[in-house]
Amino acid sequence: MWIREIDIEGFGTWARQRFQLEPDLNIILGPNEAGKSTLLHFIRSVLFGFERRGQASRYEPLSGETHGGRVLLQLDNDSYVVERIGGVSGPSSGRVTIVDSQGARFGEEMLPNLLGGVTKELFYSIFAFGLWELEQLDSLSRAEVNGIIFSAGIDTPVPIVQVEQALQKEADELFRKGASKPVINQGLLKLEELYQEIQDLANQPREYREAVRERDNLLADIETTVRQLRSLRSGLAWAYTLASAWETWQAWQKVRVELENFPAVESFPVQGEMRLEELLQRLAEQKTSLQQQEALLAEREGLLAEIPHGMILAEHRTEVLDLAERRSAFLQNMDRCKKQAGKVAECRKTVEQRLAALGNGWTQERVQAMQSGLEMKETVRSMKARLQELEEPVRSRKVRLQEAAAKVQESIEQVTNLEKKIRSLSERIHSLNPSTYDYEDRRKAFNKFRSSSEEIRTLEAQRDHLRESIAALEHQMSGLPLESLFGTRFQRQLMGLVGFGIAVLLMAALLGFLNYRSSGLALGAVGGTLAFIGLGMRVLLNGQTRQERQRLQNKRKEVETQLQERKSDYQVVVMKIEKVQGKAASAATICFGHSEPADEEIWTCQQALDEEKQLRTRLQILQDELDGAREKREKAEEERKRAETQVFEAERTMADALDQWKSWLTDHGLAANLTPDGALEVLDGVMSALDAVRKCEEEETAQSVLEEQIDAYCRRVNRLRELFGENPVSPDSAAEAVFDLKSALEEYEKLFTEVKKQRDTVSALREQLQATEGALAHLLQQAGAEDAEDFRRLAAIYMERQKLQRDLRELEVELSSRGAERGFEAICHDLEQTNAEMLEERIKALREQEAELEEMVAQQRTRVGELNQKIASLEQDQRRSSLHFAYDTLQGEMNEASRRWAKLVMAKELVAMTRQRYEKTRQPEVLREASSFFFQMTAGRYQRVFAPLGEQVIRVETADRRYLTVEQLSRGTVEQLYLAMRFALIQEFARRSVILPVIMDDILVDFDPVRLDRTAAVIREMARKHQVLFFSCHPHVAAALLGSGQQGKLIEL
Amino acid sequence: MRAFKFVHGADLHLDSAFSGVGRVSEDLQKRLRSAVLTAFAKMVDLCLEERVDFVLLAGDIYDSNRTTLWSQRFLREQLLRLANAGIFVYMIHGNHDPMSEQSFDLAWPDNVVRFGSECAESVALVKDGVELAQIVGMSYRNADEPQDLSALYSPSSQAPYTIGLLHASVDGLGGQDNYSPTSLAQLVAKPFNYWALGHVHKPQILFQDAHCTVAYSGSMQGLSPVENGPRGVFLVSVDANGQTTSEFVSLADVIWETIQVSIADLSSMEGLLDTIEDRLDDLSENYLGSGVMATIQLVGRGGLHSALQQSEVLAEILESLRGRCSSFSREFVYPHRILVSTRRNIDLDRVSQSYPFMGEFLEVASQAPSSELKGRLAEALKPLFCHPKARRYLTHLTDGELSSLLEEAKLLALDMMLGEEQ
Repeated sequence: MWIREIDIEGFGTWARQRFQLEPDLNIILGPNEAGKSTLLHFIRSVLFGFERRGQASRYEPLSGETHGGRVLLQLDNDSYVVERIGGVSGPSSGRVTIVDSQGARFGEEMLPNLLGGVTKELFYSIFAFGLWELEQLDSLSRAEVNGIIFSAGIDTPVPIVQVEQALQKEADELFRKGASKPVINQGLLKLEELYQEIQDLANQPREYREAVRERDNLLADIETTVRQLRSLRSGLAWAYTLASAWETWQAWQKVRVELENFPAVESFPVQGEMRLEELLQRLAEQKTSLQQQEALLAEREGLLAEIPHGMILAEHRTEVLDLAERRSAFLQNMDRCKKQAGKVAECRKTVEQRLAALGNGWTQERVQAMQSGLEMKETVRSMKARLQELEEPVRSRKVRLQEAAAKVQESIEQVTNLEKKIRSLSERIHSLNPSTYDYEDRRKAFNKFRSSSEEIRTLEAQRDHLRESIAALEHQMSGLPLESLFGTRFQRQLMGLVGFGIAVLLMAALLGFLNYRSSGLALGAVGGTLAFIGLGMRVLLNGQTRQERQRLQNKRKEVETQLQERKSDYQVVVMKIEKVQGKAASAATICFGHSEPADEEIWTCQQALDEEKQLRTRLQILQDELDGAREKREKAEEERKRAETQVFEAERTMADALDQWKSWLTDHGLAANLTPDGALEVLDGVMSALDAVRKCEEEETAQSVLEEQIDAYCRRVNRLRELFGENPVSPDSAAEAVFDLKSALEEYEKLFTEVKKQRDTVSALREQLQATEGALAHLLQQAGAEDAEDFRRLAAIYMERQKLQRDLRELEVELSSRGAERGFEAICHDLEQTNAEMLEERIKALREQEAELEEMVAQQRTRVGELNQKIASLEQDQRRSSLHFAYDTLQGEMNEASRRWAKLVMAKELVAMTRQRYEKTRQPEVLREASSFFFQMTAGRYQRVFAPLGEQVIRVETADRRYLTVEQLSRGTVEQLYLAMRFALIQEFARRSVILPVIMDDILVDFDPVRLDRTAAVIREMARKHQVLFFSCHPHVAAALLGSGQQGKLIEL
Repeated sequence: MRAFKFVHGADLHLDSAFSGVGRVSEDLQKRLRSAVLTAFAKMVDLCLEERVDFVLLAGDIYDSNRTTLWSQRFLREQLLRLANAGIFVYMIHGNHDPMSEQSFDLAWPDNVVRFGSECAESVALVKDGVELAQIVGMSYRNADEPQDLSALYSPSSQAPYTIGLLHASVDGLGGQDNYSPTSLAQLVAKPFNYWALGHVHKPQILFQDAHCTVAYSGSMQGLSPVENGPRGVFLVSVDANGQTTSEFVSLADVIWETIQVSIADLSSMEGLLDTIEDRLDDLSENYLGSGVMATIQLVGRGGLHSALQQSEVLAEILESLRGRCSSFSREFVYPHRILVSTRRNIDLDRVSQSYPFMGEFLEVASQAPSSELKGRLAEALKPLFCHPKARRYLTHLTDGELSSLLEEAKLLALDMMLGEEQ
């Protein structure tokens, strides 16, 4: 591969610059800062990427052009333009486009193919280097260079150095002595850490056991302390009880002493003092009351003695009270008696008036004799009714008689009227038709005439029809000949035509035959054909005529038969007409008087017959009415006669009744001319007078009864008055006397009752007084007192004692309750042994002890809590298990890694051993070539370059067989050695991969002129195979390179 | 005799290490840490549900040097649940919880009968006045018990049924000979109807006939990827004729499982992932209701081998597979690690011919562990394996490990040298 063209867009100082290059030696000569190194970097950068941003060697364009450019690479027959363009965006190494000679485009991945897989580092240090790189062969890792050097002859598919490196690298990633990052180094550290942590936690079980033991001990201690505390607290509580009971106890003792020294009144009436005072007060009150009541009694007794006749009145108490009771009745009787006298006088007057009203002759006696007035009145009333009853039939029968007479008259008039009407109608009918034939005959004859005329018309129409039919048939008959003329004529015409045709054809045939044989032959054929047709037609027509003749003969026979039938029908109809005409003529004679009436006559006759028929109907109705009227007249006459008889009978009955009435009046002494109503009036007057008489008698009787009662009352009053020695009284003053008596009696009785009551009161009071005195004496006796004063003294003593005993009991109860379950005896016993001060001291001491114990328990409990927490947390702690797990897994991982490491190390060791053996047996080719280059460059001063076995260093052998290390060589010689090495490597690379251009930047400056020339020769030799780009600022170097042959291209900048 | 039922469990290893788990999320860690406790709680549930007459615990219930109060408390609570149901627990101490290291800090509930380490003790199990069985047992005094304790066991001849409760290594099972070493023949020869053994973590019935059953109940919860498959206890029923029927009941809350996936026919990572996913699905179907910690072992020769050598690739695969586990509160299948035991398709002869260097390499690597090679490798491994911390915290490389690692190293180097070259 070689670079054909360099095309810079913008790179450092370069802008839009293009260089054409040759495939062999190219010397680029220019002064300092002409851009030679920049150009070297341009090629490097295009092929391997721009340096990172911010680095000077990135060579951003100074002129603002696009960063980058392209190189045209030539490979055998192909060329590729490799373009790399930088930019603000995109990768810092720039964007690569590769286009081949056919225009196909590729990406950056194509580059290694073009460059034979050379790495950037290798290219920079071996193929494109400056003086600096030349001197610093170290810039390439020694191992890599060594690898290239030593494995140069080892032909494995993967360079053996690479394999060793890869194995070493992988192994180092796993473990490296003294390092800290590799996996196993880290893992071991971690394992140690974990182990330590586990060890730290190994104390957990011991801690746990100790904690449990301590806790259990503490719990036992707490129990003991709590027991102590409990008993101490009960002692303290008792001390408090004693202290609080102290005062009560002292009070109790005091009361007890007092009670012992008190006089003894063991028993005393209950509420004695109160009861005593009550009794004394009651006694005083009762005495006062008795005195008052006794005085009152004496006063009442005096008043009673003062009332006169008191005793006698009391004796006749019943009579007095009875009289007093009846007193009001008596007074009423007096009053009524007076009123009764007036009533009697009034009645007498009424009797006289009524007698006067009856007229003379009527006295009280006569009236009293007519005791049966009511019965008579009843008789009169019945007689009156009978007479009225009889009057009614007489009157009604007379009315009916009158009505019957009127009816008779009416019917007579009706008959007369009808007879007159019939007469006039008969006359009219008669005037209408003077014919001899009666109505019915005429009517029948007329109808007959009418029907006959109708029949004649029908028959005549029939006759005419037949006549026409006969004429038609005859006509038809005449149209049917015996043979058909039409058929014969037609046949004849046709035959003529055919004959003519044949003649024409024969003529034509003849002509044709003479002139044209052929056409004549044709005409002959036509003529023959026509002749044949004509023959056929004739035969056909003959057949047709025979059939038609037969048909016509049949038809004619048929018509003849029909004609005969019609003619005979016609004869029959004519005869019928004649017969009916005869009948019509006889009927017409009856109707019209002659046989042939005109149409008008017939119509008139019709009218007359219709009118006559109406009149005759009306006449018949009138005749019927007349018969009815006559019958009615006879019935009315019969009715009148019957009514006359009934009137007569009623009048006779009436006369008999009147006779009876008159005889009754006479019998009862009344005027015979009296009507029943008059008789009733007289009887009423008698009855009224009689009533007045009777009432008068009743009033008189009542008055006498009243007078008798008044007398009896007065007698009783006067009898009593007699007992008191007083004068009798008149009825008028009797009532007053009775009132006085009763008043006196009442007053006496009232006083008597009061006195009696007073006496009872006094005696009751005396009894009460005695009882009170008894109770008082008993009370005093109960108390053992002599009197009330003594009683009171004893009561006071008893009360005081009672109070003391109560106090004592209360105090005892209080002490008992304070002593609680220990009881009264215990508390008293303990209190007797102590005093207030002692108690206070005891309480203080106990409380101090209590506080101490409480504090202790609290501390112990807190500790127990802590321990419990610790125990729980230890039980819950999964750290150890988790650490174990982590340790185990890591250990497993590390074991595995160590095995892998061992495998890698052993693999590498095996390769190394093989390589060493190999190196032993075969001199690496690259060193041989380097030796050759070095020999040439140093003009034979050094003859060999070699690498001793087992030492990764290079040594040189001088012509005089001295062995020198690199460090022992001069600077120039080292440069020549390294250049020789590079050239050997370049050739080795070319053998293994591709031929790459070699770019050198002024590397020959330290060479002396001889070695310069020698080296230039080597470079020219190199340029035969590899393209060489040599940058220099020294014209003599350029000249040396070009040599005497002036091979190569010189580009001056 | 009367029929009865008991549970035979052992090797709970409360607070024991979960080795080989690797780094896991907080949630999963929590679940794993509680798994042992959960398994024990499940055993108690089982006892209550089945109304067993008693429980036998054949040692190593906790790890003396690691036991935590938290777990002890939990254990005690569970034992109290049994106590409340009137179920007695007969237990012995094994090499992990020997009598001399009394590190159980809480008081044992009254229903727990612990056999001493002085001599073989025998306890008659009487229920409702009827003797059901006689149990003979003896605890370890120390972590080492070179003596065959079973030799001291002798039951009374009157007992209706006899049980030997023993923590021991039978016929070399379970490691060295300092765990009461004995032989199956000797156990069967003794007049015991049931040998309830502890110590070996894999549940197994060593012997069973009409008169005698010898069984390891195994650990109740698998404690490392090696202890794979279901773990639990034996539910043992003895009928009125003294016939023993034992039924294994899985209790493990988290089950370890290993699935082997061959890369032989796989050409892409997607294919590999799909295959693994299918296998994981199978696992979740097999262990419904449990958590499963799956080890994925990749085997076989195939094109994917090189890619699988990169730890990042494996990490990616794991990450992708772990996407299926969102929660660890209930059932889950968690691919916790991938073991790559694949081989590259290398024709060694061809390689030796084409690349002289590699021919030489194979020669070097295949030298019978020569002293030179051994010495150089030992020297190379020194920096880590002689590091004081590593000596303290890491396990030493065994010879076996070393030789297998050497083989792996050889293949790794070959692989790397060949690069993408097939």
